[in-house]
Amino acid sequence: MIRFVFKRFLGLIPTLLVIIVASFLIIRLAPGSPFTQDRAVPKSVLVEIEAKYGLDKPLPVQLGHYLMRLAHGDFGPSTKYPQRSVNEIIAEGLPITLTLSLVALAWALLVGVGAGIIGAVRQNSKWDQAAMAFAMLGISIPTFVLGPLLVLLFSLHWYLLPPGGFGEWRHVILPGITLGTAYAAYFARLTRAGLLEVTRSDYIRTAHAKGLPESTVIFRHMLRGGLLPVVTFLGPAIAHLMVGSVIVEKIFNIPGIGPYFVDAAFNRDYGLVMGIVVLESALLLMMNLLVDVMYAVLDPRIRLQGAP
Amino acid sequence: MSDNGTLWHDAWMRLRKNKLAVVSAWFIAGVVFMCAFGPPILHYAWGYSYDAQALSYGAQPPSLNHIFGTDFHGRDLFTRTLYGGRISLLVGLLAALVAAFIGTLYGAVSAYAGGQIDSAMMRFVDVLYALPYMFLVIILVTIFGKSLALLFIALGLVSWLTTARIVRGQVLSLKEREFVQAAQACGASDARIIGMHLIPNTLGPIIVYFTLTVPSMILQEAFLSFLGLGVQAPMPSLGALINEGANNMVVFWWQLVFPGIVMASILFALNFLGDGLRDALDPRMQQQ
Amino acid sequence: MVRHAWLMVIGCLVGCQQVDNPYFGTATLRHSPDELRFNNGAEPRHIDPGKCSESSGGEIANNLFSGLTDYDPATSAPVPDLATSWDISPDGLVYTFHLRPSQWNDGTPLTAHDFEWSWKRVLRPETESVYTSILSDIKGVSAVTQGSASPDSIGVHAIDDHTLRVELEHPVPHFLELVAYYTFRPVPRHHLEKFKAQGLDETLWTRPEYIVSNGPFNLKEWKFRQYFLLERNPLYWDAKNVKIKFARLYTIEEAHTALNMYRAGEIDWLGPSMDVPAEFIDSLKHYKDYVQTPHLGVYYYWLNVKKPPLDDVRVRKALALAIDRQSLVTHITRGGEIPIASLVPDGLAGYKALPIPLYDPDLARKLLAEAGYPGGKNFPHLRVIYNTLTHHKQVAEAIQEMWQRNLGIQIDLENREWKVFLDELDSGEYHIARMGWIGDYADPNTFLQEILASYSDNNRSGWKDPTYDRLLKEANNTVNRQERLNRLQMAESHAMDAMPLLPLYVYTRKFLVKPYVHGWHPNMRGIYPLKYFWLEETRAVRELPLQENPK
Repeated sequence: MIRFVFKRFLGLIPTLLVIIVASFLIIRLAPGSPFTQDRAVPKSVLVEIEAKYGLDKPLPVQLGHYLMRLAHGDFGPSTKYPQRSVNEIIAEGLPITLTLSLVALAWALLVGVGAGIIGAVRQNSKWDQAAMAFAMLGISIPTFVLGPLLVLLFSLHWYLLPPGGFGEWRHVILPGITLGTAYAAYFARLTRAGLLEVTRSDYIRTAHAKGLPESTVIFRHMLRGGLLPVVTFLGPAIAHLMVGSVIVEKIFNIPGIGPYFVDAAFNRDYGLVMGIVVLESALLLMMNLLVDVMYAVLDPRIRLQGAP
Repeated sequence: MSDNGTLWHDAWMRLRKNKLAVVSAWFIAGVVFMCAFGPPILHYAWGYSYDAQALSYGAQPPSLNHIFGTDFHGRDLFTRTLYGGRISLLVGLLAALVAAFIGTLYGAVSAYAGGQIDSAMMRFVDVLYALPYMFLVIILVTIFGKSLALLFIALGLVSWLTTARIVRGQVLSLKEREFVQAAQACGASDARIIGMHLIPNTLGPIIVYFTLTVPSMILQEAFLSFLGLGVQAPMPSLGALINEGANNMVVFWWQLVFPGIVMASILFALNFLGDGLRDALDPRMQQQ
Repeated sequence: MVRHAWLMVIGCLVGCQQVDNPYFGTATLRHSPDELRFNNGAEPRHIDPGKCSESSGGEIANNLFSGLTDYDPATSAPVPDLATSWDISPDGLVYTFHLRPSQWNDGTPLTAHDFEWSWKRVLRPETESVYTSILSDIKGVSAVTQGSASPDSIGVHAIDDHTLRVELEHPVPHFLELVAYYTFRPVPRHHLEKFKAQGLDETLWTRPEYIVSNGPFNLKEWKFRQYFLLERNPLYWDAKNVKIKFARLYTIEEAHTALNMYRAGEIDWLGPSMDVPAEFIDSLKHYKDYVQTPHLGVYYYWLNVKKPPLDDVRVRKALALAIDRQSLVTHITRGGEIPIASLVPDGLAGYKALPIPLYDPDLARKLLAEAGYPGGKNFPHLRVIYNTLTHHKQVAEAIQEMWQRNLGIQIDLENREWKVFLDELDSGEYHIARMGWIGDYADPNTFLQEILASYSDNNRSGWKDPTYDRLLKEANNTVNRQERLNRLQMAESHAMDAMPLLPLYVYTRKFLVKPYVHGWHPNMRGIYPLKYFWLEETRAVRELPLQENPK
């Protein structure tokens, strides 16, 4: 098992390298310069600035420099924001995105697991149907519909919560709900399916047979086994949430790493674009690996046939 | 092939018993009908069109004349929503078809070839999986400008990967089966074996995944449109309308609410239908 | 059915709200009255006064640093700041400023030497200032920017700690206003040199943990892409007259987001550099907190004189005369913009705009026919490019339609993403391109020199005319004020005869400001010094109903 994970992990490195080189070339070959602006930049100043960022050298040399730097964990400077390095920008944005993801996850777990329990305990009742309809609604209503609707009601009509920004607790409520609802729905289904699976197992039947009160059975015995699929899904969910926060951060003007996805490319901020690409690719690769490992754990056959 | 026949028959019976799926299917049929024939009817009867501007009627709240209100340019929002629904459904369907086609072929070939080729082909899939495609789309948009074709390429590029993996897994297990070995022994060509024996036998999962891809493609298109990278104005898509609505909601709330509800209900119905199909075609996977 | 009910609920909640609220959104002060909150637009590249080149950075530099003069809050005319008085030589070429004793916020005394050093610093290539041209009236500066002299040779001398002597190339009637501009504000030499000596990257000195400044406010926090928090500077010479204790300048790029924040009462003012988008103007202009004021800026189209058929002046004039500018501002831009057919707005520092007809489709057709394209026949397909923005698109579509209607010619419209747009402009590979220019000081030169002089980097038309340069120079060497204006008008007239650009309208600013915000005055320059602001809820406002009246 460890060897399998390790092998897959090593396999990620060439993949990441291919992505880095390809992205580097694509962004450099795109038209437009990072330093043009509405007030024209004098030629002499432009030469000075380009030399400072090493953009006067041939492309392969720049690529080599970049990879060397990257190997030392340095994403280099941002051309758009000279006061900050890409490392700093990411270091400031990542915790914000992570905070948002965790709030969303908390919301998703609270609501999702709750609805899932109701669904499983009262299987095929009105409650179950309502919970599952809610789950489907959650999965179906896109973040970019839910978010603005929440802003419309809570911020613009009732003046209760701010429509954007970041810093205090009241800033994360609406974005957290927006981002987390789809996952709440997903957790609800996972919980319900997991619990139903466990209900049929022998030890729950035994517990019932012993005459334990139903709440004890649910909370002591069933949740322990039934929540396993939820727990295994937590890791990938966080990664998913972080990648998925782009839209929510745009809607609520949250200064996480999401906005850079689009802005940095439009600003031709080479350093920042590459930083985001590397970060997101690494995150996605790790997430995929995690999912594969999870499947391998759950179903050993995959290890034999699936590992390339 | 006869047992295959009963499989489809059974699936059909199971689907028909699923009330929600049936209702969803009717709903979708209704939406498709409205999106297809609504705009010409509205144009014929009231003269509304998705692009003709009438600035003096700008930004009217919902009324009997304009049940969804109008946008800033005085265009009937109901017409635009139907037209946007048309674009979104079309994009979703086509992108999902393209994805299913490429993915099936790629996955089947990869699994059938096996060994080094399989391993190389799957590594390529891994690379594409990890590519932040949003970034790719942005770069493509800045170089080539926005267009519907580009949208297909971008969506198609990322969405065939999962199909390829699913099909590969299926084919891997199928190719050891007797009927494939028999075909090989009879001297059937590789292309024939893949096309005639392997792919038809993986059709169940492909269809299930296809129906789930359509809403996800609609969602992806809307996602791109919401970031301003989707279809080019004045052509609307649901995502573009919602984006505009979210920008304008501070004054014109109806521009967000109506397209938003339409989008959510379409996705809602498509998801129910997809779920129903999955339950019908693959009862083992029920309610995962 | 359930969906229907929900819909009606939303409809009622949102739709019939606040019918009687004369303000857009909440009018209640929802945070401490010590703190002014507003939007400052995009995250600035620099807040260093010597390096700034965008309005969002300039706003912060203007409030963190104080210079020789400052802007009057009502008229934007120069008023004494660090300079208490000044002597001007009779020929208008030598200014001697007398400085009041003052200090940096680290307690170090501020002297005339700081000014001398700061101005020379702007001119050093390693400073990477993109706005050296604003210093070009000072003696010797053009030689420095052309690379033939050292920044030390320019005509700026600190005679003693409190006297600064400035020599000019030619008389500059607006010089007292010019030195209020942020590029002329001082930076702390003692601090920067210490910074360099420690081997730190000089660009970092404006971070809140390092910055030393001398203005009405200190930089307390700089949250990247969130906000700047400014705090009153107790060491500022006029600190007792600074009313608010804090100012929070949010970094919001999207106008729609800013509007949401304003409506919800999160910000008190849409800010000095953000307009209400055109599509909202009709719906918002009846609110009491909506403000509309002319702005010193001109929206225009570059005509590339090197690309046939635009190399024919008759074609350029025909294009200009075939635009119904009045209709453009009434139906498309909608914000009370003033149509203009020449570059310098009427009444700027006493200037009289050129009497060029705004709209003459008959003459336009005649000119086009003379140029060999009667009725637009055989006229090649020209392309108008603009950077991707709804507003530019709407203007371009209207003009496309007018040209088609009046001249019978077909024009293609293409939008470009901003960076690509600028690249294309600088490469000279365009036919017609959209541009706008906001004046930096109240003098025709801010348009005539910055946009059209052959030596200006902002002249992106390919039209370089030595006669125009000479006329401009002669005008600027004139001491007599009225005579100077007349000559500037001659220069502009010469340029407009060639028509390398096609002016469309003078900007207006459209913003929202809460009724409890006081101490600001609408002005053409868009300058709102924060030291004069204060927040106070008046009785009348408090008693207004916030929510809808029960019917």
